[in-house]
Amino acid sequence: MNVVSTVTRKFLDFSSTCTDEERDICKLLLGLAAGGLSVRSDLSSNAVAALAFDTVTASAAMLQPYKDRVPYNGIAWQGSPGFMSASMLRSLVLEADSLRPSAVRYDDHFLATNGPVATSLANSESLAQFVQSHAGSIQTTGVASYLYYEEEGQGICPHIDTEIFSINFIMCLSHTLEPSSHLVVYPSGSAPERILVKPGEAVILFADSVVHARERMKAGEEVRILTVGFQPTSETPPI
Amino acid sequence: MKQTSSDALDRSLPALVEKLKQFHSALSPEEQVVFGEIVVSAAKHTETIREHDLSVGTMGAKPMSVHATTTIKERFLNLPAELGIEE
Repeated sequence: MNVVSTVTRKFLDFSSTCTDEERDICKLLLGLAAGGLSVRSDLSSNAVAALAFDTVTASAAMLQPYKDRVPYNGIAWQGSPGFMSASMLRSLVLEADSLRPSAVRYDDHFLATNGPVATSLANSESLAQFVQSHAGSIQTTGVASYLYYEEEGQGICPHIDTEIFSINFIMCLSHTLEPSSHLVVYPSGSAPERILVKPGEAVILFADSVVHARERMKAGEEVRILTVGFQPTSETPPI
Repeated sequence: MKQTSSDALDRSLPALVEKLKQFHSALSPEEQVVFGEIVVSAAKHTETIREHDLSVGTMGAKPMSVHATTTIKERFLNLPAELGIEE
C-alpha cells in the first residue's frame, strides 16, 4: 500500500471520529490545501507535493457520504438540458446582465445572488427531476448564483465546494471570444480533465467531493455561469 | 437542508486541532511528510484568501473557503507550528 493510500485511509478513520463541524473543517483544510498545492508547487516535478495533492483528491472523494454514486471524475452529466426552453435561457442571461452591477468580488471572480429567475429555477420540479435522474436522490437548496469571470487572470484555483453545492448544476450562459477557459476536474487517482461547457450547456458535478477549478481568463475573455446547489439524500425515503 | 454554521466551526476548531496533533504524531515519518505538505499548503493558501465582501450572503459562494472565518484563518496559519511541522 502506498503512502497516498495509507494517509487517505488514516485520515478517513480520523474523520469518522470527528463531529460534523470538525469534519467540515477537515474538508476546508483539504480544499485550501488543493489550492495551495496547485499554486505553490509544480506538481509534475515536486514529488511530495504531488503525493499530497493525490491524497487531497482521494480524501475529498472518500469523505462524500454518497461516494458510491459519484462518477470517477465527478461529472454526472454534461450537455444541453432538454427541459430548458430558449425563453428560459434568455431570461437567465438577461437576469445575469441585470444583476452584474450588484455583484460582489469573491476572490478571483464576481458573484451575484438572489435572482428571482434563477431562484425559481433552483426550486423548480423540472430541474430537480433532471438532476435526480442523473445524480440520484437529491434535496433542493433553492440557492442559485451567477458567477462572472471578466478580468484577465480571473478564475478559481483547485478547490471543493460547500455543502450547499454538494451537487452543482453548472450552466454556461455566455463565453465571449473563442472559448478557451475550461472547467477542470481532478479525479482521484487519474489525470486532470479539461471540460468545455459551451453557452447553453451545463454539467452536473459532485462538487464537494471532486477537486475542480476554473482556468484563468485570457485577455478579452469573459464567462458567465449560473450555478445551482443540490444536496444528495438517501435513496430510501424515511419510513 | 444541511448548512454549515461559521460560528459552530469556530467553536469546534480548538478540539479539532488537538485531535489533529494526535493524528499527525501517530503517522509514520513518510506519512508525516505527505500530511505535513497538506497542512503547510493549506496554511500558505490561507494567506492568499481575501477578505470577502459577502453583503450578498455566504450561501451563494461555492468554494469551501467561504467558511474560512477570521478565527479559522488565524489558526490555520499557525497550524504547521502547532503540529510541529517544519516548513
